[in-house]
Amino acid sequence: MKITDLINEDLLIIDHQFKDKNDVIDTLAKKLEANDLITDLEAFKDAIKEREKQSSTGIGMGIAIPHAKSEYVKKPSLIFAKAKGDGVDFESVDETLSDLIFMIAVPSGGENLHLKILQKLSRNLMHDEFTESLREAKDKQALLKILEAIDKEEQ
Amino acid sequence: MKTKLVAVTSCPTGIAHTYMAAEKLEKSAKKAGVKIKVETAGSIGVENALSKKDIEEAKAVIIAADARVEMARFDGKPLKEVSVSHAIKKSDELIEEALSESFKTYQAKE
Repeated sequence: MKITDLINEDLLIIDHQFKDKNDVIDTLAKKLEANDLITDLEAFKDAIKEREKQSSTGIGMGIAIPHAKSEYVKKPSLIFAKAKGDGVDFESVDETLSDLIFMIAVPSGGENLHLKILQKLSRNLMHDEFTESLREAKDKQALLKILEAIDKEEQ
Repeated sequence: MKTKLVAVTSCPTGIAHTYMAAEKLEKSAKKAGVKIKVETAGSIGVENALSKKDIEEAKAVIIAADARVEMARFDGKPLKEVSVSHAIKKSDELIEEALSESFKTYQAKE
C-alpha cells in the first residue's frame, strides 16, 4: 500500500479560508463524503469531535490532525488542507494557529497496512524541513510529490 | 557506552500522536547525544518493545501516554509520566530532565 492509496488530488484543499475548528471539521468531512469515503457524515463528524474532546489534535507547530477510527469510514483515507494566511484556531496545545491540517479517516476493523503509512506521515510531520516543504508547495501536484516521498522511506 | 534512555508512547486512537511523540523524543535524544529506545503502543500494536535488558540499562524512563501502559516492569527506575502532547511539545526539556537525574524513582503499585 502507498500513501497515494489514501490521498489523491481530489482530497487536497489549498488556500482555503476556514472560520473556525468546526468549519474545518465540517469542510473536510464533507469532502470525504463527496468522494464516497464515508457512509454517514454526521456520525463521522461526531467520531472526530469525540476524539477532539479527549485532547485537541492541534499539536502545535501549525499542525492539526483530526482523526477518527469509525465504522462509518468506507476506506482508509487522508485529506489535507492548507489554510489560507496564518491558519485557523484549532484549539491547539501551544495556542498557535494551524495552517497544515490532515484529517485521517480509518475504518474500525480490517487490515492494518494503512496504519504504517500514517505512522510514517506522523513522524515526518515532526520535522521542520517536511512541514516547510508542504507550506511552500504551490499546487496539488507539488503537494502530492512531497507526500509520495514518504513511501520511499525505510521504516 | 552512551547513556541510554527508554520511553513508551501511547495515545487513545494510536494512529498519530504515539508516533509523533516517539519521533520527537528520538530527535531530541539525538540532539543531546544520548541513545533512546522508544516503545510505541499504537493501534498497530506494540512496536519496538522494550526488553528487560533495555530497561535495566536505561538511566531513566519517560512515559508519554494518554492510554494505559504496562508499568510494573519499571519498578525502581527513575521515571516521569507526561501526556503525549507534552512530549511532542517539550521533548528537549524532557530529555534534559531525564539526564539531570530529576525524575522520581517509580514504585510499582501492587
